[in-house]
Amino acid sequence: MSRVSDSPRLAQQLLRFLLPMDEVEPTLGDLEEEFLSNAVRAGHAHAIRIYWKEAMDAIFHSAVRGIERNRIPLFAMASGLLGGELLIVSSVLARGPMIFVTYAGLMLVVGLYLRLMRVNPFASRFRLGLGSFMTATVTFYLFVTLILHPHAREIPLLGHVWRIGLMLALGGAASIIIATLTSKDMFPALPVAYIPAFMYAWLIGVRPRSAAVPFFARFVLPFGMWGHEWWYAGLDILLWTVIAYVIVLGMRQRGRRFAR
Amino acid sequence: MRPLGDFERAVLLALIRLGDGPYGVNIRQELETRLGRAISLGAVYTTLDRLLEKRMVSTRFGDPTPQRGGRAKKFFTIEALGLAALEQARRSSEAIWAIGFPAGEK
Repeated sequence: MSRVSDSPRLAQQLLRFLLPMDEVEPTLGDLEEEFLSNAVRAGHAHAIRIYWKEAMDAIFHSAVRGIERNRIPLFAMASGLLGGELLIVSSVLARGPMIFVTYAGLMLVVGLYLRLMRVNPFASRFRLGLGSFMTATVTFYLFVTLILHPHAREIPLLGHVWRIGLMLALGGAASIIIATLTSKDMFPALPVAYIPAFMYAWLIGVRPRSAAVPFFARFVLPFGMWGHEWWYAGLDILLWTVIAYVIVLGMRQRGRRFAR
Repeated sequence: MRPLGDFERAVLLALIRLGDGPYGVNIRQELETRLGRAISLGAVYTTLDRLLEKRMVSTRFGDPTPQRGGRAKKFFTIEALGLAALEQARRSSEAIWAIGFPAGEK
């Protein structure tokens, strides 16, 4: 039934590799049909050019659809990027209480994400949790920094944190690619978001020490600060634990919403 | 029901026009002819996929053909939800136009 054509083999392999399984055959068939028609009408070289253009376009649109379907990996990238950027900005602007710009920024991203996902049952609970967390953290930070340890402002607090943010962004991008390519549930892809951050922490010679640290928090902690001041590590444990908790809860709520 | 986008409306209307045999290539050709601009297959696939997710269209596979290197066509059919969404879009559009050009007024 099949007939040999000169359509670009490399483009075909890329499509086979990058498109979801159920889209590969119809897409290759449509492109083949167009290729033969273009080759007769405008010549072989033109048909090859059009084939490549359409193939790249199909891959791009498929990736966009993958992102639309897998919003949580997108969230992982967005929060990693935004968090990293906010941390850089705050490190440039000031030390000390400016850290709350970044914390508030990260929490804002999580909150906006939940609103966008229309996770209403969780919204009031989230606001309560966020409010408690921010109040406790601000009080604790001010107490430690301004009363007990004024010199703590000089600690290069953000040195490793923004790198971890960057690593999370890279990991988030990797998790999106995996989720898009496999077109599967995001659960297998999400842990990939934490791998670069974990590797970075490992490379700078830091090892998780406490069994009490929640599993998710271990992967995203700015371990580099562990040796300096325990309360900073404690704050970050709190921050990332809350974020991981919110992500997991958001995922569950999303599952329920779609199950209806 | 979330309102349809312009391109989603165009794709659904193309499915109606093409009757029983709309698939990627002829849907794209129909849209290019009617809208008078170049449209990529990727954009058509994305929109069809979105409509499929909203259950406004359904799919079935045809027989493999030599013109397609032995690959089957994926045919699309508009469903009741798609027709209802088009009807809603038409009513909404008419109501908007009636603001500027009310019926019976000169």
